[in-house]
Amino acid sequence: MSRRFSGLRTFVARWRWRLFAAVFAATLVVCAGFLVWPIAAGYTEPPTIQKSSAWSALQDARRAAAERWAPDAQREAESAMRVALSAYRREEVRPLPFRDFRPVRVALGAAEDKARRAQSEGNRKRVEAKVRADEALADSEADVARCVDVGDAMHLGPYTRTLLQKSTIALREARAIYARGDYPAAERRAEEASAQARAVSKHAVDAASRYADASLVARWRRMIDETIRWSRSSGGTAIVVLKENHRLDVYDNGRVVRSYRADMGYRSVNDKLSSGDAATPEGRYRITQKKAASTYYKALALDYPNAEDRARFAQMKRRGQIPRGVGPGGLIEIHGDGGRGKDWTKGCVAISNRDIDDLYRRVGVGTPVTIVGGDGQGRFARLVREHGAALSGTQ
Amino acid sequence: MRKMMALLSLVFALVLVAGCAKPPQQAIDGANASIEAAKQAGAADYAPDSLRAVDDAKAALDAELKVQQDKFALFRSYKKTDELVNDLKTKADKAAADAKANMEQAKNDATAAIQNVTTALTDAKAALDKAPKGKGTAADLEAMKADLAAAEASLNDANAAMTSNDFKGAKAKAEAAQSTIQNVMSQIQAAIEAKSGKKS
Repeated sequence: MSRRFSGLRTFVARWRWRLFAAVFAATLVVCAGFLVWPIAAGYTEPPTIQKSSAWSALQDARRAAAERWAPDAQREAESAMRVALSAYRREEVRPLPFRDFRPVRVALGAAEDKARRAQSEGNRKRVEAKVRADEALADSEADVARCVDVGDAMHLGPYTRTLLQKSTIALREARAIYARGDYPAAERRAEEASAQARAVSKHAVDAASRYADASLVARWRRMIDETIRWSRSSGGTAIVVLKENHRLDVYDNGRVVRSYRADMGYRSVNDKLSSGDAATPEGRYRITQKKAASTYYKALALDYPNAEDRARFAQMKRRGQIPRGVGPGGLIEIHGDGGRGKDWTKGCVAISNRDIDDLYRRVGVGTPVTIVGGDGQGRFARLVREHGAALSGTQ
Repeated sequence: MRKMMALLSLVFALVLVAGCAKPPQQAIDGANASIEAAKQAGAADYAPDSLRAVDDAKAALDAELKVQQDKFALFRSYKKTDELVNDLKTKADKAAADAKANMEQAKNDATAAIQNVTTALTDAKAALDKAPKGKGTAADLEAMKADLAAAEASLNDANAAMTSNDFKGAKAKAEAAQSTIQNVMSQIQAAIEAKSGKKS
C-alpha cells in the first residue's frame, strides 16, 4: 500500500508542472468555450431586424391612430416596446461575451405583436365608429330633408323655423367634423341635428293633423258636395276653395268649369280664428263686393266673419282662448297678384291676375264661396301620412 | 516605493472620478421642463407627431439611465445620456414650437371664419332691413329672420368654442352658418331683382 502511494508521489513530483499545465490549459479551454459559445451561437448578435420590425409595427399603429381608437391596446404596445428597448440597451452595453439578446428578441416579438394587435383593434374600432357616424349622418340627412320638406309645405313660426335652420346647420357641422375624421363627434352632432329636425317635423305634423282627421275631411267633403248640389239644382255659379290643394274650383250647373291655382294665408294650416293670424278661414261665404281696382289687382270681397264665425269667436273668447283686444278679423277676399306657388297672404285667397280677370267675369255679388281645408289628398294630409309614419318609426 | 505610492494614488483618484459619475440631472430637469412646456402649449392636440417623438426620446433616455444605474458604480458612464438628454430637449422644444404654430394657425383660421360670418351676418341683417317689403312679403321676411337667428346662434356657439380654445370646433360652427346666411342673401337679392324687374 505504502509502495503504491510512494509511486504516486514520485509520479506527481515528476509530472507536476506538466499536470499543472494540462489543468490550466483545460481550464482555459473551458473558459474560452464559455466565452466563445454565446458569440458562436449568435446570442450576442443584436436583433436589429426584429427591432426595426417591432418599431415599424409601432409606427404603423401610431399612423392608424390606435392611440385614439384603441388606447389601452396602444398603451400596452408602447409600454412593451419601451421594456424591449430598455432590455436591448442593457445588453448592448455589456461586454461582448456576456451579452444575451435572446430575452430581448422575445420582448421585441411581444412588443411587435402588441403593436399589430393595437393597430388592428384601432382599425376595427375606427371602422365601427365610421359606420355608426355614417348611419347617424344618413338618418340625420333623412330627418333634415323631411324637416325641410315640412318647411316648404307650410309656413313655420319663428321658433320652429329657427329650429329647422339649426338642424341644417348642425348637419353641415356634422359633415365637417366627419371629414376631419372625428367620427364619434360627428355622430353626436348628427344626432343633435336629427333631434331638432324631428322636433320640427313633429310640430308640423301635429299642426297639420286635422287634415288627416277622417271626420273633419268627411265634413269638408259634405260641404263641397252640398255646394256642388246647390250649383246643380239652382243652375248657378259657386266657388269651392281647397286650402291644402291650393285650388279654387268654379262650378256652373254642378260641373267644374274652371280650376285655378290659388295661394292662401301663410298660416293656412290653421283655421282662421282672429285678426292677424294669417290663416284663410274655412266655412260657407258669399261674395259681398266686386272690386275692379284693388291693392291686389282685382278683388272679390267675402262676408267673413259670418254669423257662424262670430259665434265661434265669441265662444273662444269666453273660454279665454283668444287674447283681449283681438277681433275676429275681416277683409277676406279672393284677389289677384297670386299664382306664386306659395302661401303668402294674410288670410285671403290669391290667384293670378289672368285668373282673377276670368273669375271676375264669371261671378257676381252673392256667389257662394265654400272654403274647406281640403279633400284629404292635399299636401298637409300627405305630410301627416308620410312624416307621421316616419316620426313614429324613429321615436 | 515612492513610485508605487504615486501610481496607487493615481489609480485611486481615477477610481474616485469614475465611481462618482452622476447623471446629468440639471440637463434632465431642463428637458423635463421643456416637455411640460410642450404639453402646456397643447402639443397633444396641435402637434401629436412631435409629441410622440418626444415620448420616444424620453423612453430612450429612461432606458439609458436605467442601464447606467444597474451598472456597478465604477463602470457607469453618462456620455450617451448627455446626448439623449440634448436630443430630448431639442425634440420637446420643437414640439412646443410646433404646437404653438399649429394652434396659432387654427386660431387664425377660426378667427377668420368667424370674422367672415360676422360680416356676412351683419350684411344680411342690413339687407333684410332694406329688403323690398310689400304684398305678401311678411311670411318670407319672418322666415328669413328666423334663418338668420339660427345662423347667429351658431355664430355665438362658435365664439363660445373660441373662448374655450376649441378652434377647430369654432371654425366648423362658423362655416356651417355661412351657407344659411348666403342662402338668405340670395333670397333677398332675388326679391330685389324681381322688384326692379317689375319696375322696368
